[in-house]
Amino acid sequence: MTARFSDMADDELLARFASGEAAAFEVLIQRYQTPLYNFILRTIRDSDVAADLLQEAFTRVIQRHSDFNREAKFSTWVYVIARNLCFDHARRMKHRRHASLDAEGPAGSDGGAWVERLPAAQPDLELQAGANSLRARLALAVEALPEEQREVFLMRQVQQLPFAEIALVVGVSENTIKSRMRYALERLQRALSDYEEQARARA
Amino acid sequence: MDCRTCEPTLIDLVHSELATDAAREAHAHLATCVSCRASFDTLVAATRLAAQLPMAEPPPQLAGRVMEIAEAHAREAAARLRVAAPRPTPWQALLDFVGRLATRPQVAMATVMVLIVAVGLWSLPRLRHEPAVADGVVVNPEPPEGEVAPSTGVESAQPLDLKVDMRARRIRSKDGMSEPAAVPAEAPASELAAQQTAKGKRSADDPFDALDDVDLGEPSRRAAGRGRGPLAEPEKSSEPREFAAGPPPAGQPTAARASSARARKSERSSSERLDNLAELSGAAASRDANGRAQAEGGLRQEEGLTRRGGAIAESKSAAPAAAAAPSRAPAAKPASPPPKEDDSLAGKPANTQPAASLATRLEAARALASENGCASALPSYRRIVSSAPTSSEAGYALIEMAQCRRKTGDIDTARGLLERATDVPAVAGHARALLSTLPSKSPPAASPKAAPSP
Repeated sequence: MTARFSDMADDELLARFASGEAAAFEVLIQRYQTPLYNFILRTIRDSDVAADLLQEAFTRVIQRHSDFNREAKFSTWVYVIARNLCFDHARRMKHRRHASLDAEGPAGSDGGAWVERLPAAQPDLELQAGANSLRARLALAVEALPEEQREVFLMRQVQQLPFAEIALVVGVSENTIKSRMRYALERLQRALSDYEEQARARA
Repeated sequence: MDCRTCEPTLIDLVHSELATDAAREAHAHLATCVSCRASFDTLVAATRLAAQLPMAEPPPQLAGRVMEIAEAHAREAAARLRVAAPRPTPWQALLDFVGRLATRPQVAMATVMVLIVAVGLWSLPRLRHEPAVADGVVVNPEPPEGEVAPSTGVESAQPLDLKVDMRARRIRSKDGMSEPAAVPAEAPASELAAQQTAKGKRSADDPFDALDDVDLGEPSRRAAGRGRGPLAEPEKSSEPREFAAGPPPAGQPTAARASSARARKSERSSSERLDNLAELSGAAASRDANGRAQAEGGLRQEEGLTRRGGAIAESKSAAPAAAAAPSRAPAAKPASPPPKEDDSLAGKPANTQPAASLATRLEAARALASENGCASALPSYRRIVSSAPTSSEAGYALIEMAQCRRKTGDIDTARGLLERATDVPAVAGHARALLSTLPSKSPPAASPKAAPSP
């Protein structure tokens, strides 16, 4: 039965789940849990919280599947849920922590910080173990991206969402999404080039 | 494309999401612009770098916890549905089951196959009940009296092995039986038998032969050839023929002609034409008989007339058409002997022809003589004499034949004709007068005397 559901589209699986077939939702979990987790993780930089937020995201899908607008895509809807959860978490933590915001300019411009940069409660072990590796540096560089650029970069990179769909999730124009993506790539390239220069310098 | 329009498209170009034409233009600009090219190269490198971003895996127990929540919710949803919807009746449950079953592709395909087989089986008996139509059998009603019912068989008709004699306008079957080329309407057999004349050579159902007997100025050869029956071939000799005194015709027994005529009678079809030609059939048969006698090289008038008379009597009760073979037999014989023939006719056959026809024929012969010379009319005169030897028309024909012979210097023949004419009451005096004018001896052929014509 799971093999039969694996050939179905996301909206059909959700419809099957709505009709009482719980096994259809398991396929949705397998499709979205990893990319959605990385999106949440790179956004809040806390693995435990990321797991909780991921579970919350799926729970919201389970509870609100009847409210889902069939005209939209499931991926768009689930990332809207995930993005909103990250917003909610950030607001909660804002009141708890007194970390300085990386204010690089007015909102909507390049690098506007809408999420408090939180220290990782559980630092990424992989990053720590390979702090000098390229991948680790890349992950840190992604987390260092402005939030507007990071969310676009993450949805494009981890889920391969089209720019038009990312524009629907974020609520801006597609050209704006493309610009943010370009700036994020250029920033990452510069950050890693600095890393390479430092590496050559140490060598 | 310039830098302003190219730069926004670089991200799409890196991810291969640009349209073909726009991509071609962008690459063309990148080939010429250093700054845009540098930007493009940076984006390409960054994209390759971004692909190396490590993907963290969520906790493994997370999926289980989520599924527990999902299953609980599914049970609640199903319970709500069961409560909301009334318990289906057995019929409704069966319909639901059938509906779910019918929507499956396998069931739909099987249903279509069953329908096809059912339609085929239903159509099969209908096809079986149409063998008559399929086989081309035609239901034949009772044919009208005198008609032949159409064929009910399906076998193809065999081609008729017939030979068409275009010259004589006759069709000859494989067995030698002849019949006229144009099949007239049917006529009762008794009528046909009554209308048959001597020897049955001349078919009364052949209007062309009857018309030829009128001798409307046609060449003598045709006139001579036509008088010999339905399948009589034209006489090979083009010379005008006269009554010949000689041995009786051989080779054509009366019985054979009668049998062949009876055979042809069975195939007659035209009654109207026969009726019209009835009055001519006797004369035609007589002329045929006379023509045959000439072809054989002379006949004794008395014997020939006797034979002809007998043939006339026989043909009255015989089949309508004359036999082809018997007719041809005398026709195939060599031409008549030289013109030393006795024009006088023996015997006294009954004048069976109506007077009107003899008069018409006499006039026609006279017209032919005036146009083409008296020699061309001799066969016509002979036919008149043979058909009604004691009629006045025959007497006049004998006199005119004698005058014609006299012109050519054949005084002996002329004398014979005139002597014969003295037997005809209507012209006896005239004939005796002409006889007195003839010289005692026939002059040399090289210098014929011109005798005054009556």
